[in-house]
Amino acid sequence: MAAECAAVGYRRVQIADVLVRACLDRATFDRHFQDKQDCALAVVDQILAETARAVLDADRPGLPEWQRLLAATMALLELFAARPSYARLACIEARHGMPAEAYERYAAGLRILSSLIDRIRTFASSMAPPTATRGALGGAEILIRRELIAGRADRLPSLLPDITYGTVVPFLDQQEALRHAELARELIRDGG
Amino acid sequence: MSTVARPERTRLLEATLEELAEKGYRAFEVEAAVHRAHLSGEEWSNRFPDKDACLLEAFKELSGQMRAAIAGGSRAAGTWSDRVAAGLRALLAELARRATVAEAVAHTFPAIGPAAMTRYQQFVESLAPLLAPGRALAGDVELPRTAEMLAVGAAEAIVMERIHAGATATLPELGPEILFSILVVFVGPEAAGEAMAKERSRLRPSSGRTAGRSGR
Repeated sequence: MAAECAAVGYRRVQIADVLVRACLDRATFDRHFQDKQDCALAVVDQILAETARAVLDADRPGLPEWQRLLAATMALLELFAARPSYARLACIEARHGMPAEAYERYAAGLRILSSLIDRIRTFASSMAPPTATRGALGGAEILIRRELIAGRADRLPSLLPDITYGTVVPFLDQQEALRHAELARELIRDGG
Repeated sequence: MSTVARPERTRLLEATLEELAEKGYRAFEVEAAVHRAHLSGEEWSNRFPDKDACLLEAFKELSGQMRAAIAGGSRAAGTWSDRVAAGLRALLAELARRATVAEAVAHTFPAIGPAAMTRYQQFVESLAPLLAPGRALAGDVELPRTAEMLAVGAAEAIVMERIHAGATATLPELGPEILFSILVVFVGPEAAGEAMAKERSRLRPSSGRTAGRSGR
């Protein structure tokens, strides 16, 4: 389902084509899913669960907040790089192209990521407005979407320094944000 | 809508957007848009092989109008921050003015398929170079090469969230906050906060003009 959505978009997906890709018959599909939407939502649920797990696994209480954010972001990018069709479904189709239930799941994923950024806000300049967290995530999202649409998911982990800068600069001094971006670069150089 | 002194193509594409806003994607038909635009004959229906082709062209027209609104607004005098604020103000006002159409397009257009999604992404990305002059304000600071994209992505996310919530008409109120998220990438939170305060006082002049400097 994820691969078929990536190829033709959710709206044009035909269950018959999904079954051909999966080498399954209709009876098998019907045993597991009510319809196309049910199946696609299950895929979104799966990537959402994997995202939450990857982020939580990377999170090490006791480390500085920025370091926890860095590790979680890297885990997310590596997951999306490894599962590009799933990532595309979660980041693109669920946001724009699927029923409202999918958008709710996309929004739930954003809330998980927002909670990570909001911990950084503890150190924030008081000037950062309420929407700054959503804006910071939006900066990361557009870079991720660009690579997914261009079929360059393997490059996602290399975005870590820029995404790190974009997510912390609303809340920290600009030089501090650049320092975190440099640390992200070192993390990539050291192989994660 | 007026049918006077506007190219037929523009009339058809505007009618397309209005039909889409009123009827939704499923019920939308090219023939109805042709009729609404007071055009006749099979020529127009034939020009668009299906409704998706018609919607792709309508999006191109709409995105061109949004770009024009930004460009018109950002011709204002003042610092770079002032010009960004003015361009953003113009865009948000245009979106609010056409809230129903904006919401219909946001819910419908990227969902047409990968080609439409790519077209939408290209439109958003095409706004990034408009922010390139902001690099000059960073002085010796070497900004990420994607700084403009980070800023555009921040604005797009906040705007789209409001559109998805069906609150497009209220977008101008969010202008100062969106401005913060655009500028902060280039000038950091302090200067971006000052620009936000200045924009807030501009929107609410009765609350007193206490804003500081902006544009660093």
